Amino acid sequence: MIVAPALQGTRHHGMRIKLRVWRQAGPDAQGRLEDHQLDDISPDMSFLEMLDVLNERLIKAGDEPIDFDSDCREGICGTCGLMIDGRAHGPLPGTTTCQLHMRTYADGDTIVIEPWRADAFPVLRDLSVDRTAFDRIIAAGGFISVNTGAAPDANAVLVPKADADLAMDAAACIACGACVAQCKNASAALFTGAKVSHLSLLPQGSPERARRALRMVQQMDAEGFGSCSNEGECEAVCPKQISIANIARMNREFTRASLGGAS
Amino acid sequence: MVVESTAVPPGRSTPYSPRPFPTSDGAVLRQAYVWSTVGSKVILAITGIGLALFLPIHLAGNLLLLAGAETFNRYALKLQSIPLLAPVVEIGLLALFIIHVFRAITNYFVNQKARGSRYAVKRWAGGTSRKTWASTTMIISGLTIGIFVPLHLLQMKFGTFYPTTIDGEPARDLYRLVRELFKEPVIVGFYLFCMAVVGAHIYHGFASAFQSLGFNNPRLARATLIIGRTFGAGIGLGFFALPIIVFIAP
Repeated sequence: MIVAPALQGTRHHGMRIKLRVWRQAGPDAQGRLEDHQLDDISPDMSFLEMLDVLNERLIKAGDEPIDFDSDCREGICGTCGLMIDGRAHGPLPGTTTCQLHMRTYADGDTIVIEPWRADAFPVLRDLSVDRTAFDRIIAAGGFISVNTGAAPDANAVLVPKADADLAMDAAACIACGACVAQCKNASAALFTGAKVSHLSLLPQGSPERARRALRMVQQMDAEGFGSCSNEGECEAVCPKQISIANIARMNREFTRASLGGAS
Repeated sequence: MVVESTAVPPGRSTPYSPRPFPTSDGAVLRQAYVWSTVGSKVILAITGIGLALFLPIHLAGNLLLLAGAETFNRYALKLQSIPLLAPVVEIGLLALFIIHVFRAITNYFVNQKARGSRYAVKRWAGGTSRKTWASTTMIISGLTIGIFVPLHLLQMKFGTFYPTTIDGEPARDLYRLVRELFKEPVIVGFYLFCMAVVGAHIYHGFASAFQSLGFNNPRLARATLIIGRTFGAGIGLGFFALPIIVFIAP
């Protein structure tokens, strides 16, 4: 655990941070770590604001800015995601990269920043990776088919509280890909397990339960993700702290669907 | 399996293709299951538990070494005299062993390919993670056991046949063979190393198997993890003790 540094000395003078950032011109280009130094970083900055400062400096100097993904910057969208000093989303548990702040670091620290690495997440440029594999897993079965029309009355379909809680915990997944990035096998089992769980636990998701498990797992495998190591590294870096119990549930759902006769 | 596109997009080595599942054909589903990442882990779990359950029985039998030559040889003779027991158990264990090793190796290559490029810096996540040195080295500990088991069988089961008699009946003096082998420091060292490896493999493997099989009750998952680690340590220490005791015994 990294201890927040005492604020004196950093509040007025700014922090000095050394960065080693992965630079890669394109999907097929050779990448390398590039060294940068920032001398006036506020401990109140978020990690991404620190990269914004670096990018502004690079642009001013006529260099290419570092490509990285971000959107909401409030920890709810799942767009940002960096491998920071060898941990997905950095050193804090339950935290997205955008919610990591420079006060987590000490003056003079060196930080290594890399993109998610997985065969199924090819690097597009620098720190941006192509996560459309997740979209295709969702498209394979991460939905419910309903006749649209007027919104149904609340509580027309009763859901046991315990099931609603489990489904909600699984639905918290923001599809950032940290689970894949951290797993030594680049397995997408936590992502797929969360998506399979959150729909299959609810009555609305029951009709397509078997088909969903079959298609989503098959698509996950087709994308080239590895098999679950059962180490639980994914759960530990997941910004939404989604439990690997969802992977166990996916395994049961997929086994039942495969061997029990599917619709 | 329907493969609609074999084009390899830039930046990745695996071609991806949507795999629609239009079938309700049980045979197709079963075959796809066996080769899926989930199915492979379930197969590893079932065969692994089967192999692990043999070990406490094996250890209990071996502890009869401490009761002396007569008891141990009588136990060995008794096992051989029960009709079909030895052949059925041996063929069963061999089948589990072959399937387990085969799927572990195929799985390893799938996983290596999935993480095509390495991180310059990679740290363990900590927190709730179950990652240990035992869990990171499963393929290495597994391959070590894969080498150990045939050597162990060659030394013991297919080793020197010392004849003896029990109640006037001809029998094999396995006690003498074990004592002779475990008086050799090199062999004792080799066994100690391999038993530590077996313990490490089970230390992660036991709870991992139950997770693969879908045991997901949070309280039971915690208990399974603790039971598995204790079981692994117990098996490791138990088999660790035997060569040492025999080596230092007069």
